[in-house]
Amino acid sequence: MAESPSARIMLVALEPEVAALVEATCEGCHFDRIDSSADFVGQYEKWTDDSYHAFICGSKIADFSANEMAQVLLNQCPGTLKYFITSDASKYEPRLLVKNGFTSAYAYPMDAPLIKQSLRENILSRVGQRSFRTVRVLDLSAGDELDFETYIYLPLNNKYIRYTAANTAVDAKKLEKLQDHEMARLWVDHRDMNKFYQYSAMKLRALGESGLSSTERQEKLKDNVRMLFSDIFDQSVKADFDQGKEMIKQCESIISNYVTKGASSNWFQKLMNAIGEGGDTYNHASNVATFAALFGIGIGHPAPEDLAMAGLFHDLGMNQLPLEVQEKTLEQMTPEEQALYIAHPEKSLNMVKMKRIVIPERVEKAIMQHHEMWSGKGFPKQLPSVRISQDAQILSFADQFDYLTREREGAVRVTPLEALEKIRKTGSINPDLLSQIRRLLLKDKEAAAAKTV
Amino acid sequence: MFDPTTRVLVVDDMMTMRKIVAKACKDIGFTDIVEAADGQKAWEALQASAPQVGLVISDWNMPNCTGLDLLKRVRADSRFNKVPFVLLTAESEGHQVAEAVKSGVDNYIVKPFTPDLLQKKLEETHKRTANR
Repeated sequence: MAESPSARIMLVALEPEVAALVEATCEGCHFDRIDSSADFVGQYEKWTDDSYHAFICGSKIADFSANEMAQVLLNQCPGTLKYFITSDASKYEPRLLVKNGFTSAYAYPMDAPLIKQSLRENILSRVGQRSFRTVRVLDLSAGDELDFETYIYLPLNNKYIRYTAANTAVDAKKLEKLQDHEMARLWVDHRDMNKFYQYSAMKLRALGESGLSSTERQEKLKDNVRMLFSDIFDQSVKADFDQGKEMIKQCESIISNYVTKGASSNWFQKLMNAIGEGGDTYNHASNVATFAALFGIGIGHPAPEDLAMAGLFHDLGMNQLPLEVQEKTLEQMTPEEQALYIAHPEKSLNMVKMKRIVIPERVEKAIMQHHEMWSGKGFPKQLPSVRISQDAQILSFADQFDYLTREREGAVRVTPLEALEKIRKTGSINPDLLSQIRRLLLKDKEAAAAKTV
Repeated sequence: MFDPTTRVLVVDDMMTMRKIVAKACKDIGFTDIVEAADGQKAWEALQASAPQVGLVISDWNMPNCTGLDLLKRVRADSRFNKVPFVLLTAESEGHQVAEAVKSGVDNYIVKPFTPDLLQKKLEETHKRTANR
């Protein structure tokens, strides 16, 4: 019998709990270990790109710097995967570690789901082991043809079986079975994820442009957006695989495909790259862009791509504020700091212009007004409700929504509906818009009940 | 190309990287290689060295005295201002490179590099500096 291929992995100075995670995830692989600087120095010269599929390094050797490890490995094995994983994350700056040569740097246990996913997709896949991601296939109907395979996962046998073949019409009976089965989710090979994103975006667009009556069309769009939101915030399947984070990444890719209409030049991705150095602001920007566009699609906005663009840029100007000011609430700030903070929408616009990015006027307006409030008590101009654009209101909602629903130090993450109620209490958003968005955040059954009321 | 007997000063605070650069120099054919662990030690080595150092290959990011600081010192001193000087950097940062060029660097190499790339860069450097 042919031996199944296995990856060769070098573990360098890994802490025991991190090593255990890696070994469990990459069960069956061949591991070598180095736990002292003398061994590292004694061995690095013979390493080439053929030596290992990956180096996974940690912080257990006190007298050997992670950056030095990175540079040496980069020089010896430029084409090999090089990860850094530590439980002592406060001592390391991921950006610097990557600059010095690591492919990625992770903090344990916070990034455990990401680490596992990355190991599976980047190391195991290189030796022929497949990796699957769970997805929500939008609006799947009998007769549809997907250009990728889908799978069903059988947890008891830990097996994936093929549900639909690529480029073959989906069978009505099979579809019925899936819909009957409460646990049924579909899985897609991670290498097919781009096809899946394109399919989902195409499906959303097709719904928006279909020959259905406008009411039916909007209902269908709403249903699909609602399904995406319920996946993002589905707490029941959280466990150790942080599905929420994974789903929002998937949504971001779907939206990116949607707003660029599948064009070869992906401006959304380019703009995302243009805005930042990574970190929290970047995540916030891409989340707000995704949420704003999804809300827009769900309520029938004519140009969700403009909302996505506004989302990407709305807080660019915050980067110019000192970090300690960014972390304060408006009430905690000194008058000088408040003045700086209040100027951030304008600074955001100026920075967009400095980057020579041309944006539509409605996007400018949305950015400038995203802190104006329906009650007239917002900033910078304290505009009355009639003068605030709907785009700015959607952006403002998405901005507050991301803030409230994401995990923050010292704050309880709230559910989407709790977030909506908190936002309602601020008086910042038009109540009509809130009702429309509320319908997108209800679970399928609640939404059905709401429809019949 | 440089005369193989040219004394090469390799500067890097990371011991293993220093060894990698020194070994690459040896593989290219250089026979006289000295090492220093930071810019300050390199400066001392330059002044004490006999025969004189004929080529400096220095890392950019080092504590105390960076590669750029060392370059500025070297260029400001009439004894060494003609010595070919090559900087090694972890990534090419436009504005930093511009500053290094203004300060008189002769070439720079972005890590990772192979002995072949080092040789190519050193040949370029030799052509640029041979008539000083």
